[in-house]
Amino acid sequence: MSCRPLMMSAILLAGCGEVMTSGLPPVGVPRPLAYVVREERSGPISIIFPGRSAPTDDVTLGIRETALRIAQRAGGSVALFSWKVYDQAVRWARKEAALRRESGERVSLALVGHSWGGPTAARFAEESLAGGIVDEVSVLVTIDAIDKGYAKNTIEWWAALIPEAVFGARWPVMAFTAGPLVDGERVRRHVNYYQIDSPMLHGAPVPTATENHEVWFSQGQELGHGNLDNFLIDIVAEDVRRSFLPGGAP
Amino acid sequence: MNRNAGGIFLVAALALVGCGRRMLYEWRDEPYMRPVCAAGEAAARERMGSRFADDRDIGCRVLSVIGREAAKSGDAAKAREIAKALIAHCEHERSPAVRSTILAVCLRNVGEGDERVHEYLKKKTAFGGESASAAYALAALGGEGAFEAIAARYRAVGEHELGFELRYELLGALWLLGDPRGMAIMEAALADMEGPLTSWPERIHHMRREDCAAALGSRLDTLRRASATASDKR
Repeated sequence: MSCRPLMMSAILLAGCGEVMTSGLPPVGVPRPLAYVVREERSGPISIIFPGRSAPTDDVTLGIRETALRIAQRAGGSVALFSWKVYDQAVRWARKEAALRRESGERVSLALVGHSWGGPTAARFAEESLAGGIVDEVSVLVTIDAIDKGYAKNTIEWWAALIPEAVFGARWPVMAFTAGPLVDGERVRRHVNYYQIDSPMLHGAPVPTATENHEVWFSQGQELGHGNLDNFLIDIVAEDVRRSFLPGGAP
Repeated sequence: MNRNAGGIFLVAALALVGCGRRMLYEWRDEPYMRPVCAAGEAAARERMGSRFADDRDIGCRVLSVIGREAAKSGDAAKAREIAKALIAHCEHERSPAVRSTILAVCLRNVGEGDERVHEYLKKKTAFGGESASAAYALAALGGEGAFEAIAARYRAVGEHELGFELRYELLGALWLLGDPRGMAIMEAALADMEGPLTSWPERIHHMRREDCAAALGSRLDTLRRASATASDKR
């Protein structure tokens, strides 16, 4: 009997493993689609979603460093997931939440999303509360959140050029603006960072957010969409850390 | 076919390439950073010598990532050497955007425990056009004298339009620093911002004053909470 089909299957499975696997990489081992930074049996849970095409094993990625900083400062369990493996993030959160419920601990979750990861994080907030996975979202941080696909945007962008050319106003056609309801109990805080410098790919104020920040840093200089997460590493890590401190809702 | 079609296509292609260079780097970070990082320190330093600001920006950032990772693996001397090179580059860098990146991102990446970086950031917080970037990095690194440097700059900023924008950023740096002494400054700024005779302009950057006040009030709340918590250790 030839073992070639078996070998081929093994190679295919290995090659597609990042997408197909139902398991997670070991804790502390970054992979392109998921990176479980740290797991604890108690304490807060933080989940971070990078941008649409950003690999979670990229050492230059600001949002990855943000996750490491959160793990260092806020403690608990911390992981990054690509939007492509959203279901893995749900399973991981469910597993982590179950550990906390065993010891009667309230399950508190912080969510961070950059670019395409912004609406993914917002969706995760709503679904994990509705599904009873967590008791509260202590903070949702969105960084230049974008909520539409490339194809749709390419079409809408041309229409957006008109007000920009005529009135000098940038129309946020791609920006995520429909955040979850912040009620101070289930969703305690939503901090939204955005810039308006990068054509088309930029966020906007979210009307329901607790805080909106147009990120600017130095005089006359705004920052680009891709690098915005790098500027905000420590700021976002502090948003998350302080959201877990006792003191209740804003 | 139009006889000039070739020329039009050529101009259009050149315009696309020219715009794309900046636009695509603004949009997507990793395709530009990863190859340089994979090529190593020499490639990063080569980029720092480019005549394109974006390339210099990429070179500086990659070099700082190399330094940060070296420090994480215990090679603090390497991080200090890279910090020295970045400071030297910042001194003659002509693009404000690149200077801002070096101060806010690169020196923060490699500046942990490096007295030279702390002093440089204090100097850049006190003077020049990139005070906010330097102040944020200083706040992220913390350490002795950080509060005094940021607070002194806050007090020194003149009350003109541009000054208010910088003051608003410095309030953000004070919040990040987490020093309880920052609360009094933030409270005074918030009271002024919300008062009937406010000195703050209608818009700070492009944000409405009311939205800035709401954000500042919320940050004040988290700073109070952090200050009140005994286990507040950074």
